[in-house]
Amino acid sequence: MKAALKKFGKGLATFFKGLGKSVATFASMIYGNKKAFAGAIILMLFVFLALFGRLIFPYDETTSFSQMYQSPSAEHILGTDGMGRDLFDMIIYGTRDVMSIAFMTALMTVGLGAVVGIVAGYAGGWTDKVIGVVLNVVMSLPTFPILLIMSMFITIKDNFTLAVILSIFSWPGLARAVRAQIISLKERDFIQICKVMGLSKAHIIFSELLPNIMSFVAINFISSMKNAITASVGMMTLGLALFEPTNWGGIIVNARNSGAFAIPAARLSIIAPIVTIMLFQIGAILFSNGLDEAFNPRLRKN
Amino acid sequence: MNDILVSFDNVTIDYVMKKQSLRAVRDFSLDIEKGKITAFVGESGSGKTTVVSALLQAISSPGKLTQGNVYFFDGDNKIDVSALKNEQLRKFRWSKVSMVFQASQSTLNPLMTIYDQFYETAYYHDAIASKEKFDERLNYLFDLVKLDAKRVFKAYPHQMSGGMKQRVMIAFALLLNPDLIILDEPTTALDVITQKYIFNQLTDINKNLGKTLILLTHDIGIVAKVADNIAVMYAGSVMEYADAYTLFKEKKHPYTRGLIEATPSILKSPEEIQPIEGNPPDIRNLPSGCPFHPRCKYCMDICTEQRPPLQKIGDEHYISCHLYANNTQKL
Ligand SMILES: Nc1ncnc2c1ncn2[C@@H]1O[C@H](COP(=O)(O)OP(=O)(O)OP(=O)(O)O)[C@@H](O)[C@H]1O
Ligand SMILES: [Mg+2]
Repeated sequence: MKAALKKFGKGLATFFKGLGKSVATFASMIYGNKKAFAGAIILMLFVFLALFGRLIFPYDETTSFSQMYQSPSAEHILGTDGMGRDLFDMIIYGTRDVMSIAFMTALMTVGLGAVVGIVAGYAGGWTDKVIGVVLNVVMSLPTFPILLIMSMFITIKDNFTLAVILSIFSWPGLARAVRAQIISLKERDFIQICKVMGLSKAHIIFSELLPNIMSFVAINFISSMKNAITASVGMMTLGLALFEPTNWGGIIVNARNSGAFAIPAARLSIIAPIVTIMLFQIGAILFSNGLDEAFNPRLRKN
Repeated sequence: MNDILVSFDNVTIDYVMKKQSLRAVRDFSLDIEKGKITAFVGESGSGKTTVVSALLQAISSPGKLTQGNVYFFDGDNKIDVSALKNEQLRKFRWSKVSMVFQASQSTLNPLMTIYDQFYETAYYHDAIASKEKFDERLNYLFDLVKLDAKRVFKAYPHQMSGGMKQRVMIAFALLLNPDLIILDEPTTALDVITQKYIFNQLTDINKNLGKTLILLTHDIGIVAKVADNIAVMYAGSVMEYADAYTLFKEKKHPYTRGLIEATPSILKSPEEIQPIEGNPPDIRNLPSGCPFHPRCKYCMDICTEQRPPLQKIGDEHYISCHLYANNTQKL
């Protein structure tokens, strides 16, 4: 038991050492890759705004109908929304919630998906079969009708629960993809030989298999953040999640409901959050391309 | 009799599949001399890889050792390899016996530098006293296989040529200082000059470091100069075993003779190269009696009925053939 724990610890240690190296190479590679660099800057900007945006651009919640749908001016950079609130400040204020929902969703989706996928793929046999059945069941649940019914009974009030609901429906797909990757990797010679070299399971999983699916997992992390942002808008529209006026999706919904399409001055209330979401997505895509290069020495140019 | 390092005792290995099982190795008995280079020669599918993987408990699934034992002599200690479990097995593999695999060039992790791969393997076997000592050992090993350590340390597998990777794998096999190294087709897919180069290094490793080597190959010509002893395999069994000189001089077994005469060489004119007639055996459907009889020029009635036992016909010269049934002493 003690020996097994020690081996497990060794496996974990080398994995993190390897990850540390990847992070280091990634950081140094960013300079060489303009796109990845741009992506990283964009994402860092969002993270920064999530953390400190509210301090720098305080958001004034008071509504005043006399100020509604004002055009951009020195006072209101993006103008105001249908209730006379500063649009720019709203978007900044909403960043923290949007980001934390997206981050938590991605963490749970990818965490659960990767662990289950690795276990199923590596263990094979009965474990794999049982997991396969569970995955099929979860994947065949009709997401939209279920959410619709749920919305009749509950309203989600906190970001964490929202993230849980969002990830419940998205992890099985990832688990499947990871499982398939592990199964094909497992048969590759360099994994097969590990057993013959007397290397432990922990080593095989953490130092040989994980690094090889790392870029795939990282890219999925970024794209599930992306998906969570759009999906949380849907949840608010459905009424399943508490409507949050500063959430980017909330801003769009609000504007639509108050007929912003017909009012030329109100169009910014729709365009601005969409552009923000797009900007985040562009950053995410650029960054994840860079990740692929960081993890795969073949793609590096040196 | 010289010192024995490994003893295959009546080894039979089956690939057990749903529809039928396939006997890839049949009653294989052979002693491997310590400090020598022994070559296993046989056509593709004759069971070379299968039989040696029993020595590492690494028979690819669904293969099973259904009969017999493989023993490894570690000093006075006789290890029954097939009985090793968990920690014992982990300590045995690579530290006592290592292997350079047939497709060895793909046995390197594409995402790790060569240095890291060596380091991790040593780390897992608790074989690293200090980083300095380890680096020293690596420099020594890379020197041995004539690789530029500085350059190769930092390289990823895709940045090296096939010959370089092959030499990296040989260094890898030496990493934990095992007594025995198995090399499965170590030079296939390499050009003739690189082949020669690698064989020279293997001979050095054998002579200077005293390592016992087992070479698996389908080309008897290639090992003629290198091997001390040669075991000719056919359909999973030993057909003939002798030291290289005797084997080439006497070529007693019709199959051995066939193999030697089928080997192209610069000295032979194309007409002299005599391919062995008939097809390689289908081990799912072996003929009765001697498995080679349908292709044998000297086939007698008894050959179609009885499988010839492996018999001693000279000093450390064994043969499985009815032609030599009379003047033999039984094993
Ligand atoms: N994993 C496996 N499952 C089923 N049959 C197998 C497996 N591995 C090998 N065999 C069969 O066992 C027999 C012996 O194979 P083996 O790989 O030992 O031959 P070999 O002498 O090493 O040939 P080669 O020179 O082509 O490497 C072959 O008929 C092969 O089809
Ligand atoms: Mg083989």
